[in-house]
Amino acid sequence: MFLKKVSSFTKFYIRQAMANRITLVFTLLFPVLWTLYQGLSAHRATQMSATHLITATIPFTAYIIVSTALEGVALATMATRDSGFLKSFYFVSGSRWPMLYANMLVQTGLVVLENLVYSAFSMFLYHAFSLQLLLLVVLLTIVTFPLVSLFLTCILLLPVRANSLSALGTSLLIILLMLFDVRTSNALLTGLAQLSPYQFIANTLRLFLGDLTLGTLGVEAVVIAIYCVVGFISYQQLNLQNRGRA
Amino acid sequence: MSQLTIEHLNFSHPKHPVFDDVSISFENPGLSVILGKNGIGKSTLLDLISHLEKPTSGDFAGFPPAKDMMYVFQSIAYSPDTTGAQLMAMYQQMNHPNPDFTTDDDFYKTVITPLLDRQLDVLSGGELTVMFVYASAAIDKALYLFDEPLSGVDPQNQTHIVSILDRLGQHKPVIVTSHIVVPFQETSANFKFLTPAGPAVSHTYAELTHGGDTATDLDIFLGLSEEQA
Repeated sequence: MFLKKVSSFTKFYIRQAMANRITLVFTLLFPVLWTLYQGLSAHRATQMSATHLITATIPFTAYIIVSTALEGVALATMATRDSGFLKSFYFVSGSRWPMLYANMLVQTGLVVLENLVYSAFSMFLYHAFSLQLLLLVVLLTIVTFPLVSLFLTCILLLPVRANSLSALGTSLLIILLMLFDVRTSNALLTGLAQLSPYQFIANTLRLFLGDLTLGTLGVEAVVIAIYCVVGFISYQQLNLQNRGRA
Repeated sequence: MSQLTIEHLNFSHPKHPVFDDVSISFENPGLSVILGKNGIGKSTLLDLISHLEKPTSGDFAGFPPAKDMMYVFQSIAYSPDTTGAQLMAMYQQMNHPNPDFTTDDDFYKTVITPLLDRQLDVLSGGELTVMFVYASAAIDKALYLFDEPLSGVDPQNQTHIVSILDRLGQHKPVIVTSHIVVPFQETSANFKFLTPAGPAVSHTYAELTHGGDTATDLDIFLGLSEEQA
């Protein structure tokens, strides 16, 4: 029955996604333009291996994942809550979780498509095509996107208005990107930095590329555990009523 | 017949109190219609029953968990390009069917079938409500809540909606809020006049109209208000 519910909601979210196709283009715009600018201005196109390329472009691959998780899942959940869909669907299905899983499923498909387009574009620009690495990007996206989406539902508990939350989310997206891979000697800050979705995605890529040390595996396991716990608690606590936001 | 009861209910919104020691009960099975002035807290009461809101205090007895309730809100959220058939299929796919609502009865054939192939955004307000009320009644739940299902609906569709609610109330507890009473004349509904404090009084339709057949909604409403005063 649970899978039937997810399947039913998936059809709903596919219709929603098809109605908002422009978002796909918008998410790709910034990474594609920036990569194009770098590629054309630095004349690096002929000097890069496929592995080097995918490592170099990981901030943008991660940006596509994080921005889709934020816009397509977290903020979209709030939009369905504010329009009354979330509570209506809750009573039809008897649970709030099938809706989130269905949306994640649809958005995972979309973000895989976006990252395929972006990676193929980068590989074309730098003359470094590799089918194996293209598949690695797909795998990376499929593994990290649901976890990042779940984690980002925590922003729905912030006591701010919908439009403020949207602005806050976009700012967070940019700030975290700017802080990506910044090194510090402070242990606490280093620990917190590992919780950044960008860092998580980059660390997962390193694991996939063979950087399998006990330390990296441990950090990955802890981050995944924190993402799951924070995400589950946040979404379970989300008020289905559109009331009480300051 | 058992009862669903709420006793000594207290609840306040952040800026104003809503319920002060209110008590109310509902028949199980049975159709209960909550009446009351605008802003008295009819919708809030449904929100409290469905756990969308938490009471300050109060004893709830006999109510199923929220996951086993069906709640149709006054403002119906719908995907405009969905057809009536897709809506029905979605509801049925997620739940066991209610055996009291089958596709071979006259009501389904004459009222629901013509709506199935049409997109929800081309239905009239009344047809849309009929579609949602029927789709909700046709799934098996332990309690059904309908917030103002007759509001803004033409008289013919009001009759359709009331007939669905009445049929549903034969075997299930059904709680409805409304300002409109007359369409319930031929039903076995119990009417609860909600006030911000104290117990809600229960009436049959005959008691509301004092046995008269020509009472209007206004007559009934003013009569209840005077009685309460």
